[in-house]
Amino acid sequence: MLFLISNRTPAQTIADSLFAKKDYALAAVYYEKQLFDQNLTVEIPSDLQARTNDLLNKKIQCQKVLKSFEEAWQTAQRLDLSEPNDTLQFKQRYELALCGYLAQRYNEAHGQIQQTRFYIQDSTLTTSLDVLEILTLNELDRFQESKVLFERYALKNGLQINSNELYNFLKKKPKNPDKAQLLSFLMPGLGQAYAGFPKEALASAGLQALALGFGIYHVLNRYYLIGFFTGAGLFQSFYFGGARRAATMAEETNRKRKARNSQKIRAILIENEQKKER
Amino acid sequence: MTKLVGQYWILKGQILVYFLFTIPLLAQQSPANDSVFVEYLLEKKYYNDALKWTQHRQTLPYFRGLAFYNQLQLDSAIRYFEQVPFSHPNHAKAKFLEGFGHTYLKHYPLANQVLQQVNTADSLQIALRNFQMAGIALLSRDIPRFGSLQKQFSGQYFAFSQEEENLSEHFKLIENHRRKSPLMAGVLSAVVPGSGKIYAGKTGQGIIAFIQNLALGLQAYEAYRRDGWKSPRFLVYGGLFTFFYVGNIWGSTLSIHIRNQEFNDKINQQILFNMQVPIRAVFNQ
Repeated sequence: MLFLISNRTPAQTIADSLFAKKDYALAAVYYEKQLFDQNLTVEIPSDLQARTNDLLNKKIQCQKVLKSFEEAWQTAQRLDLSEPNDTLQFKQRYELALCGYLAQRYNEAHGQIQQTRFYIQDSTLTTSLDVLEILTLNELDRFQESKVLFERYALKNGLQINSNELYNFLKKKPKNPDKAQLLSFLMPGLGQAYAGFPKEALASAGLQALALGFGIYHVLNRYYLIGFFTGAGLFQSFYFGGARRAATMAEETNRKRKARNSQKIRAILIENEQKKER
Repeated sequence: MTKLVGQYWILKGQILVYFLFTIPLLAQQSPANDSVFVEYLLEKKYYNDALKWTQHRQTLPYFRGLAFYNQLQLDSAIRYFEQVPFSHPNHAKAKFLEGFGHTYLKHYPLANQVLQQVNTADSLQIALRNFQMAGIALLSRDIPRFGSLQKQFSGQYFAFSQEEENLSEHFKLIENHRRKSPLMAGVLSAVVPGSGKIYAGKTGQGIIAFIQNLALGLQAYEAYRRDGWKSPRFLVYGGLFTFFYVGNIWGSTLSIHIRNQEFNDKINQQILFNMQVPIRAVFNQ
């Protein structure tokens, strides 16, 4: 009995019990302590790599629960990927890519996904990467590639969804900020209307008309200085300001559209994955 | 009875065996091991982990201070550096960092006081302390004190000979910085709108202010000439002109203060940088 107590590694019980008690921040440190202690032991255990990865994974879980995704990504990069067992190696690589996605490092996450596909040829494993890759590609604004993957995913999972319909927005060209600006230069308010803000278009055009009217009225009544400085001055600032604003609005519309489309696809994927788990 | 005695010895033996196995484990949890672990955390830059680990270990104020210092939470860092006991091997480093923390937070007298507490016979550390105090004197613009401390700059220590030179350069810059008068800027702007800003070194702002005032003045003049004093048109433009004219005078005096502030901030930043580098160089060998 007594031997059993003394053989147990104390830090492990502490870290795991802290994890069970939901004190994730402290648990993360205790997992780090275990990693540290492991390197201090004189005899190197044969399963050092597996143990290290296991502890790192537990630390990552803590950091993910705490929503410290950047730190989780840093920890995930310490994972040893030279695991000969495909299933285990895939698990580490998937975690790394997932942490990259969560830390909003989409380029790096996508790179990790590509590497995983290269190193692990077992397609029964790599199919589970599809969801992550679709989401990552969406964030990277690479919807064409995302569509191809989604079609494959829908086929495998027997989803009754018309991908052409879902990715219908690909046919719509994104709003061009330069074009919006040019349109507003040609006709005040037109750029805003093109960017999808008709009320702002009216307001912009109205303000410019007022300024111009003020100027013309004063010039006609022979108040040349007031007509010029106030009328033309206000008009030019509304004119150029309106054109600049049209450009930022086009960008805003693009951003919103992208978020909305990604969200639609994300919702479908998550719903299906949750159904599979049940 | 004999059975009882036998059980007693068996129990004693079990206790002995228990201790034989647990003592090495207890040793693993000792403060010495703890501090090695914290050093590892700091070296790897896992500052959050280091802070969490030292939170309930009041025996490790030095490392907790260091973690806060690296997170740029200087007031917390100071609180823990203060607790580093004199016997600690890194006591001197803690004091220098505490002093720098106070300096950064502009608590100059406190910083001097802390540096005085560095009780060292090491000539390198004595020279470093002199250098840090000179930096503090320069930051508080205590020119006579800086002069006397500067005399002790030896230029012998590779770790901060360059910084000693830099500090002397900064001193010259401060000495040569031409003081400009806010009153003068105000008067200039009253005579020719915008000229006070040009005097303060803000040429672009000055030109814009001049054009603004000229345009509004002309419009007010036109309204006055056409409609007379009492017309609403003159009241609007006259009011606008007055508002901008007075505002520009006030703004010109402010720009002198801003100019001085910008110069001081820039040079203080450089002095602080020059003070921080040698602490690292001396203590992180």
